[in-house]
Parts: sequence; C-alpha cells; structure tokens
Amino acid sequence: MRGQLFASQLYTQVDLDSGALVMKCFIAHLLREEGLYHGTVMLGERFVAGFVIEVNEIADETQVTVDLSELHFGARGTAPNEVVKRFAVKTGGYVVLHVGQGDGGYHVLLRNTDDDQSRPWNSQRLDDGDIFSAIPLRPGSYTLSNVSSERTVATRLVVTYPDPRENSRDRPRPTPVYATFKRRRFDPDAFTVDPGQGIVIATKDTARFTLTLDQPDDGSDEIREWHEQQRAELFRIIRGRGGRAVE
Amino acid sequence: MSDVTLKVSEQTFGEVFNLVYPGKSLKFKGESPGAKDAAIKTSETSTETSKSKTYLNVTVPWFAIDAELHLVAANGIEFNDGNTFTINEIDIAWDKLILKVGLDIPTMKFGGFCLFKVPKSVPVFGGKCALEVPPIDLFTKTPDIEIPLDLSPIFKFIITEISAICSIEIRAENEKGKDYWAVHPDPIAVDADLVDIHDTLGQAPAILYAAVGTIVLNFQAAFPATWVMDVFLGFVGLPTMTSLVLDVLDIHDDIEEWLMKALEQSIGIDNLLMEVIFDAILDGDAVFKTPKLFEILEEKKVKPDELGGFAVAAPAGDVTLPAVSFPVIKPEVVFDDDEMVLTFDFEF
Repeated sequence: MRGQLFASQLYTQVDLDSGALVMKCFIAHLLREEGLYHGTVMLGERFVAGFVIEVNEIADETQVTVDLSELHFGARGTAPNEVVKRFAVKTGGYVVLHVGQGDGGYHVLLRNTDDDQSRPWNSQRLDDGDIFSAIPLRPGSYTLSNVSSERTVATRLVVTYPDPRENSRDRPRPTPVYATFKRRRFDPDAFTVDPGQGIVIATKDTARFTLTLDQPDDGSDEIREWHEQQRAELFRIIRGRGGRAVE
Repeated sequence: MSDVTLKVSEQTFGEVFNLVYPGKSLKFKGESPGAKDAAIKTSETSTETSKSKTYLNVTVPWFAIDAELHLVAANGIEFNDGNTFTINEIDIAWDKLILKVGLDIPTMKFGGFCLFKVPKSVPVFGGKCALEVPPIDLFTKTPDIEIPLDLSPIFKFIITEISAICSIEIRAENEKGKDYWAVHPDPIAVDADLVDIHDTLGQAPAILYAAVGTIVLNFQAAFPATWVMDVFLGFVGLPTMTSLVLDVLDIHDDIEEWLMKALEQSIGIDNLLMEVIFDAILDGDAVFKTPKLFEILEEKKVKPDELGGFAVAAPAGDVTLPAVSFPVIKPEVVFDDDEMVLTFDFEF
C-alpha cells in the first residue's frame, strides 16, 4: 500500500475552535456594506497572507469562498503586504472561510478600506449575523462552549459511535443540525449528531465557539467483539486458505 | 533434379523441434489498458427525495501481470499443403504468475451542506440554499493500493490451449564466422486460449479468497484507529472492509469468473501469450542447417612422395592440399505429404 488514504488532520484534530480554523470548521461572515475589504490571514500572531474582497452591487456571486490554506501556501515567498488573491461578491453576500488542507489554525482580520469609521472584523470574535459550522468526526462526548468572554457558556454535544452492522447504501446522509446562539444561550441546548454530520450555529451575540472532546467513544463491547470476530475470520481464511466465502 | 535431397518425417521434425525450443524461459508483462480512467457506479443517487443517498463511484480496478513460462513440448505436428505446418498443441509450464491488483480509492466528499436557506416566504428563491460550505475531500493523496496476488498455488489449474501455424523458411546465417543456410519455422498464427477454469480450479477459490483477505487486512492497516474505519464505512454505507474491497474489486458471487475476467478481458493474457510464443518461435534456433560451402574434402597436409608419380625424388617437407568445397545454392524447403523435403544444388 502506498500513499496516504486521507489527510491525517481529519482524525487527529478533534477539538475545534472558531478562532483557529482547521479543515473541519467554517465561518460565514455577512458583508453588509459596499466597499473594498482587505483581509489578513493570521496564524496565531503571525501574518501569513493578504487578500481583497470587492463588495458591490455589480458582482454576480452572493457567496465567496476563501480557502485560507490556499492563500497561506500561495503567499510563501511574497512580500508581507502583498495581496495573494482578489475576490468579488454582491453587497449583502457572505464570505465563507475554510481550510482546504494542512494543519490550519487560522483566523482572519477584515477591514473595509472604503470606510475609515468601520471597525475591523476579527474571526476570533464572531458577531451578530455570523455563522459557525463544524463537522465533528470523532465519536464521543464534547463540550460546546462560547469562550468570547470570561463567563463561558457551555452545552453538551454527543457524536454517536456508528454501528457498522447497520450501514446501508440506502441510508440517507444526515442533514446538519441548525442552532442559534442568542442572549448567551444555545438553542437547542444539547446536540446529538452522527460522525460527519454538520452543526451550524448562527450567532446573534459576540462569540468564539470551541468544541472540546471530554470523553471519546470507541464503540460498545458488542461492536468491538464483532470486529474481533471479523478479524479472526479473515485470519482463518488467510491461514487456512479455505472455509466459507470471505463475506 | 536437385543435387541433394534430404527428407525429414513429421515425427523426426517434431522430435527435433522439441529438442530446439522447449526449456527456454519466456517472460512477459502486461497491464489493463486505461482502466484507471474508467469507473463503476455502484449505486445511484436518488432524485426522488431531497436527501442525498450515500453512493460510491469506484474506479475499475487496475490489473497487471508479471509472468514467466517455458515451453514443454510441441505435440501433434502436422505438415500441411502450402508449405506450412501446424502444431496442434504446445504444452507450457508456468514458472511465475503474479497478478497485481491496483485499487484507486475514489475521492469521497463529506460536508458540503447548506448553511443558510432562503426563507420560504421569499418568492422564487424561497427554500433554496443561499450559502453552502465547501465539501471536504477524502482520498485525495494518490491513495492507490497495489497488491500482488501470487497465483503460483493455482498454476496447475490455469490450463492453456495453444496452437500455432508456421511456415518454413530458409535464412542465411553466420555462426562463429561460418555461413549457413538455416531452416526456421516462421509463425503465421498463434492461438492461445485459457481453458475456462471454472471446473478446474479446485481449491483455487479458497486461495483467491485468502488473497482478498490479505488485501482487506492491508487496507484495514491503513486506518489509524478502528473508529476512523467505522466512520469511513458509515460514509460508504458498507458494513465491512471486506465488502468494500469486494465491491471495489468488482468481485461478486463468482470469484473464478472474476479471475477469468481479470486475466482474459482486463489484461488480455491470451494475446500476451500469443505474442510471447510467436516471438519465441520467430527468434528461436534453426531446426536444421547446412553450411553454405559444403566441404567434400578437408584441408590436408601430405608428404609429396605420398602423392607418387615423381620422376625424381620428391621434395622434402609437407604440402597442404586445400579443402574441396562446393557452394550450396538454391536451397529450398517444402512439405510433401508427410515429409519435409530440403533440396539444394552444388555450384561446380
């Protein structure tokens, strides 16, 4: 076997943070005002790339998707203030920030250069109208928190362990769970999702969301036993070169 | 009427053929052409419901073969009219038969869902997705798996029927500085068929299932933890890695049929066999040869008095009598009833 089946970050990065985006989380920010927005991709305290979004009425798209890792890798060897990429979106549209590859850990500063009075937006401090989405994969019990202030607000999120015996091609993929964060409360106030099922949180307050694994779930004893049986059967077939068909 | 006529019977010809050709190791390799670009759609996406169904488009498995064989004997040689002969059966023995199976795990996507829908109260666009997150790709990093299946335990079940029609021709050759007329079989057509191995495989299915089992274990080992594998299987909608590997390999109920398909249709082992045997006969040694200069008398040193006839005493020392040779011209070979007839003339 050669190569890697998939990006290791998908299973090693279990805890998620809206203030340090990785491959399994996304932020959507509403661009209400027309103007030329200058974006800065940050990795911790370090500037890694610059980009520009033109927000106006003549743009066709209502959504612009920005891959922060692409900007980061594309900016290597360029001057610190150099704009790596330019985007355009219709006034009132959204910029969706995500990480296509790599370790991530980015946040973004966005400033409307046409409006000196406007306050720069910082993705580490989400605001009314912003949307955070995450796709937890690791089964287990998590704490979903808003850590934007000293008075942390938290709720519970459970990612169920998938029972492979129940898998079926006809089973529809689960749709995301939609929630709001408003007046320092999550609604709903508890979540249960399947691995890979998204959660989408529209915030009405200032927020920085974190998802922290408290207790991993490695499946029931029954599932583990079933796996052992499957494995033993495989070994028996391979060693004995016989027996019933593999399946 | 030719000066020299040599006749060789079918039986003798066959015996000479079997002295010259068998034993040489013949190697060949091959792979399924363009398989990596093709795809098997293993399930459909339903358009009846708004929810998407799990589906998996898998690329056709890629096959390659690395083989070595040798000719054992040519049986049933028959001389034909029209200066050709037929070998009704060429026995071969496999020395190596490695079937390589390559799996290209298809890129899968998850995520890619809607963040925000337009309220249903909005005309035209109501209920439609206004904002989407980009999907996350799985299996993008050249995740090919290449597993060699050693088919040596089932050599004896892989029976081939090979026949050939050859013409016979005479080529001018030089060997160690001497020129020859060499009689060579010249293949016109070779036909190779794998006998349908369904009924002859015997214990082979078990061996093949064991090979599949090995692939499954290899695949499982690529997953860092059981939970990752179970999450992945959930995405694919299959219960076990075994079912996934069988699916990706496109093995259904009949593993013998799968093997035949892989060897015959994907790799075209018949054609490869034909080519290698064609080349082996074409490039083989001559079955008969005769020097271009046919020596009647060897070079000889004699004392002059041995020659006699001298009126006075013969000179001392030896004299060399040169060899006496006749150039061989107009060599021809034809099949006449049950005999190969080789004729040539001497140029005086």
